[in-house]
Amino acid sequence: MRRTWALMHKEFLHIIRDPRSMITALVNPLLMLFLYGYGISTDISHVRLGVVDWSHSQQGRDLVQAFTSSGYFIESFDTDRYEELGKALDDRRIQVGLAIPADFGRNMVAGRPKSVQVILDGSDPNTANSVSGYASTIIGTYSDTKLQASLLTHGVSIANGGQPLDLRPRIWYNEDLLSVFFIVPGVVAIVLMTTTATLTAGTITRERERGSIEQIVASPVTATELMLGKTAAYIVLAFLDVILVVVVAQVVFGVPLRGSPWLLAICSLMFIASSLGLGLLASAGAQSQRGAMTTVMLLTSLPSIILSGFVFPISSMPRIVQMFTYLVPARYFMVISRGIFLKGAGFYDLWPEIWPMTLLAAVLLGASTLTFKKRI
Amino acid sequence: MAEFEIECKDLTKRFGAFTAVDGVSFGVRKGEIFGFLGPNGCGKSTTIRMVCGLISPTSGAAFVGGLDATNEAESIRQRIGYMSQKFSLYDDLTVAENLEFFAGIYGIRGTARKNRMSEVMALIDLTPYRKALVASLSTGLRQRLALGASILHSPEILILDEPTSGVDPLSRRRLWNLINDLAIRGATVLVTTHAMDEAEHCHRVTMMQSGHLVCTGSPTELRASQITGTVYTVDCAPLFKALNVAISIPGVADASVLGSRLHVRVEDGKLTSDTLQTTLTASGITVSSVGPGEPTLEDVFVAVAGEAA
Repeated sequence: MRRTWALMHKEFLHIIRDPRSMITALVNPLLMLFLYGYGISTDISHVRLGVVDWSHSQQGRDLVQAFTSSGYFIESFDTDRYEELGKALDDRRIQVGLAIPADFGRNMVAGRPKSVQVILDGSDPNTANSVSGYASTIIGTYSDTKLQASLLTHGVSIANGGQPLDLRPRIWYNEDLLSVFFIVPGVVAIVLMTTTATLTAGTITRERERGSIEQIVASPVTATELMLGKTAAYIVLAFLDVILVVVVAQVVFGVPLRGSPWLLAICSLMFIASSLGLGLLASAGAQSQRGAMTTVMLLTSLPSIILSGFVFPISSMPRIVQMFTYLVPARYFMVISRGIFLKGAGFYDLWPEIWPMTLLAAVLLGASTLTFKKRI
Repeated sequence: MAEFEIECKDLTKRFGAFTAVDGVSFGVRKGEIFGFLGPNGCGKSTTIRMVCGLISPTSGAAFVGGLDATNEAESIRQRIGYMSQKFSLYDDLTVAENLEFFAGIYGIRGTARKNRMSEVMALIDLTPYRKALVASLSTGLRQRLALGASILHSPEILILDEPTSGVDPLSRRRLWNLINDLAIRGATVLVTTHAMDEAEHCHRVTMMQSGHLVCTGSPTELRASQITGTVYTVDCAPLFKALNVAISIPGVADASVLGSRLHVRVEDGKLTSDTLQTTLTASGITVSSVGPGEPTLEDVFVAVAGEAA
């Protein structure tokens, strides 16, 4: 115990003396939080709309008005020539084109079948998909209103705009569907994983590179004491990161923490333990600090971002890729973090995620202690 | 009580097809300074690391204080003070912090630690530097600190791997005085070096070449038993030309530059001092004097290494 304490104390001195590890531990998480928080936005707003309105009618103007007043579109291009619309879409002056035929107004008044064309930029499928949805809704609502109005002029009043079913969607947990609410709790996972793994991978290999590991191994310190003493400091540091990120998430991004902060703390510790194991395992295998760092980057950065469901839903991945995600601790913590933040989920709600994550942490830590014992 | 504090019996270590240490046997007596000599890469450090139980031998065994270094490694760790070849203190920590850390991992704390630290700091004469960062110290001071760190827990056995490498002559002498001091207080010291002249500080030495021990004994014994022929010290100029000429003279076994003089070993009865002088002068070298010389341990090494090869 006193030996572990001596190792811990020394590690803290290293951290205090080396501003780089402080930067990695404290500035990096903030940078990531702001980059991801502001950078990744799947919210659609201010979509640039281009219009060709050959009808020159009140009805045509009403339709364009319906688009712009929705708040999602701004009319930023107006032309009489269809080719111009195509060109504007080519050079990204507009993201969506709306073509209203010459007979639109007349047909509308006469109650004849009519159609409008919406051209989407498919080079960005995600945006195109969302925009298409918004456009359908706007056009749908517009037709309903017109239908009701024309029926009313004929003295018929029908509820639900004449639809047999009235859809009333209600969104829970993230009422305004803000992507920041989805991203920021996820950043907690990414930050913890990369910071913890990088720092711990560095600490063992640094000791090996400067040769001091041999001096320590020649002392009565056991492998477990060494691992514990060297990592305890980074557990504390990573835990400070959790507090930092959670506070910034609430204060700056306004993400609500609806669940128990204690549960979040305990789960974070478990997750930190798994990242620690990963970092140690990488450094046990690598001979140089650079080698260990590269391994850690390879193991944490990409998998924890792609395979954790941070941005892309796991359920839409190919089955084989989905199998791999079960081995990524961040996958479980992602659900836990979002669950506690947004849903106020409790221990029993999250148990299906908590146990595999704890198991992974135990396996990773056990494996790294074993490899470490074998090669000093 | 065993005869030897440290004993190696037919110690062998292979790395793949390469045999780093081949059938090494030697013993170090209690209170003795035992020098382990040989060029860089001859297998000294590998032997030392097996003695400390840091790596296991392929065959043979090492015993420290009567305990098997491989199977009882845990028990011997508290008893040995080990100073590894690579400088292994922490640059970003101060002198006191380094000592504090090493005291800590040997389980010394509280007042015992405080007392022992000031004792050791006084012994290695680093008290004025206690708050200095190790990064700011000269190599000589660092090595003294490293030695200090390895004796904090008052080990009976000291294993020092190249403690004087890269150290200036004055600091080197101080380090050796310190090692002597520790031996007088009863420590058994096993020390490696590739500088042959340092072996003069040891009670007994063993010489290693390419994984084999080539000879063992006290420096005086080795000089007497391993060196054949006569050694001359020649005062001449230009020195390096003279060296080349001397080596090519028939009957000269070995020649080297020692300080500002030429150090020549001739085979028994082959060459008198007069013939040596005339031959050198004939080659355009100004010889001011030829006198009798003492064989050095380097001569011993060159002689035995030549035979072994």
